[in-house]
Amino acid sequence: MTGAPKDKTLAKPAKAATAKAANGNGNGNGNGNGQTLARYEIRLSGLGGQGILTMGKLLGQALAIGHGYYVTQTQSYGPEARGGASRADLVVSSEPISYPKTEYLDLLVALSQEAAASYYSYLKPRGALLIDADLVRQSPSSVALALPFTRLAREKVGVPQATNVVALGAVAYLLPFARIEAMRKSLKESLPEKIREANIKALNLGYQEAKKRLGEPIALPDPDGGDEVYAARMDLTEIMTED
Amino acid sequence: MTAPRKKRREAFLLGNEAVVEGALAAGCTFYAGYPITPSTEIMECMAKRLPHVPDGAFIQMEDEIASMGAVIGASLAGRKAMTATSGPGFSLMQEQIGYAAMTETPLVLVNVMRGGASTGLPTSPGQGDVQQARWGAHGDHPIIVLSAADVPECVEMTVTAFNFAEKYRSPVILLLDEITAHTREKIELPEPGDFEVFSRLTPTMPPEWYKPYEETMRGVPPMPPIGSGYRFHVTGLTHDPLGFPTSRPEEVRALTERQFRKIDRFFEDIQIVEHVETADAEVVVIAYGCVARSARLAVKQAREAGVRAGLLVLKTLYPFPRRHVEPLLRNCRLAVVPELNMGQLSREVKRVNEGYTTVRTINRIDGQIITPSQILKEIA
Repeated sequence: MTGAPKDKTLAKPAKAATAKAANGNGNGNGNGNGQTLARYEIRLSGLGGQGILTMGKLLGQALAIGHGYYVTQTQSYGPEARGGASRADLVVSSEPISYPKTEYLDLLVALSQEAAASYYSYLKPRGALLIDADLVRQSPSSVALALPFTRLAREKVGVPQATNVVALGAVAYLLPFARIEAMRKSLKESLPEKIREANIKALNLGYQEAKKRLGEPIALPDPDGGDEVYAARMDLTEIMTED
Repeated sequence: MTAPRKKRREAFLLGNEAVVEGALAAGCTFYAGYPITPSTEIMECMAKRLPHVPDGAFIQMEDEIASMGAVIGASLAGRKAMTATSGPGFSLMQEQIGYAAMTETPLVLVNVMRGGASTGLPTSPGQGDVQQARWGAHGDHPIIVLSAADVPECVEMTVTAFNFAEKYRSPVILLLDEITAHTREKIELPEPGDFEVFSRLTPTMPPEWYKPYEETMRGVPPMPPIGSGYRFHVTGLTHDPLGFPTSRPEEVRALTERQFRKIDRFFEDIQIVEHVETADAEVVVIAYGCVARSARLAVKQAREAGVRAGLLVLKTLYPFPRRHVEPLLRNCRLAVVPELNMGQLSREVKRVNEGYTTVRTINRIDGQIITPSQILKEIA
């Protein structure tokens, strides 16, 4: 437990606490109380220009500085100036992280059809897939979580460039160990003043929409064994090499 | 010591950004460069930060050749100066790396290694410049080559690079790779007093007694900033103790031997390595840069599987840390050297090994990192 952030149910404002505390108690793995994380792996993916790398930085900053986790955020992009595939990978842990890249994903966020198709196979058997409902027309999985991030950013925020931050709001809701305030703080610290207000609005919108439409936050894998998914992941000979 | 410490400022930084934090903590006040992926953030960050540093100067030059010229000039004028580049730019800088070594001009050059030869894979990692860092400039010359594996190490090794440059009056090359440079991690921002910072010795004798390349106890002559009243002739030609060209064999030999000796005598200070469970290891992984992180996980997993594995992380690549590598090779049954190239540092390991134990290499040149499982397969 050392190094893990404080009990989030205490630190959270009342309205947000309810849903996640319920989840923590509901799934019976004790994650609602104290958030010790083994390796938790997230991939944010889409096209160059969608703000994927910024989103990775904001999320990583919130988890590393706001929550005190160990985080490595790596990135991958093509040699093209824009338009190519773009992705940011995060590994989050309560322990120091040796290997900085992702192996099998716990959460995949895909903001383009191409990204959803190419990275779906890196998802753990019970990992979560979050997609842009409009841009990913053919979801690789029927259990995908979908929100129209781009449309929400355009119509409700009025700034299509805020798509990544709307998605970040949804991620803040879905991750059982993340707090929206830490995201907000990360956003305020990193963004220039003139776009701050729109982005805070986008973050809150993403969070609220996710809460309304995506059900409960994701359950964490049980690190104490008994979970065959987790065991499968730890079978190291099975680790795929990076694409 | 017992007083409660002020909470340190934390930041979530790229390896490249951490290099800048290290450089400024070491007292760097001059940067000249030409941007190239994946080193560009070093330059961008320097452009933002140096104007706010007292006497700080940042120049974007027309190319990498001019950049090295500017850095050498700034250093001769008394500044702690640096530049950063990647593969193609590193090739362009080679001639003046030799010039800096010959004129014993302190400077720091960060080379963020990308994949492939020529333009290669600009956005992918590689470790193909290891031998070039040692031998890229023509002629016999000593040089110090360092590496870093994670973001906190980027700060630390940049400070070390400046300290070595100043202590030994030598160009120092810090080799990063795209993964180390483009990984974000949390660090505590350095504050004054965190690091021991070394600055070059300046002459204390009257200007008329000063001989710029005179033999000294340490082999490192004091160095005045140009324009401070000390006569100082600088040439890439082989020179005598006064700095003027000479081809007299005894003077030529004395110069070259002193240049090597000033590095060789301080191996203990210069050769930095990290031992991870090597004490009883029968299988040893020798790695550097981002691959050392994969190796760290692989060794941990091998230990869990009951294999007595150990890891030697090389933070100094040249002068090659033989005193650390050799005893390990004498006591293990297998040494594994994983690298993102066709086998460059493994040549040094094999040279030191002299056929004593089995040295296996893992080489990957497809622009991807060597994974922990790839290493585990070789050692478990």
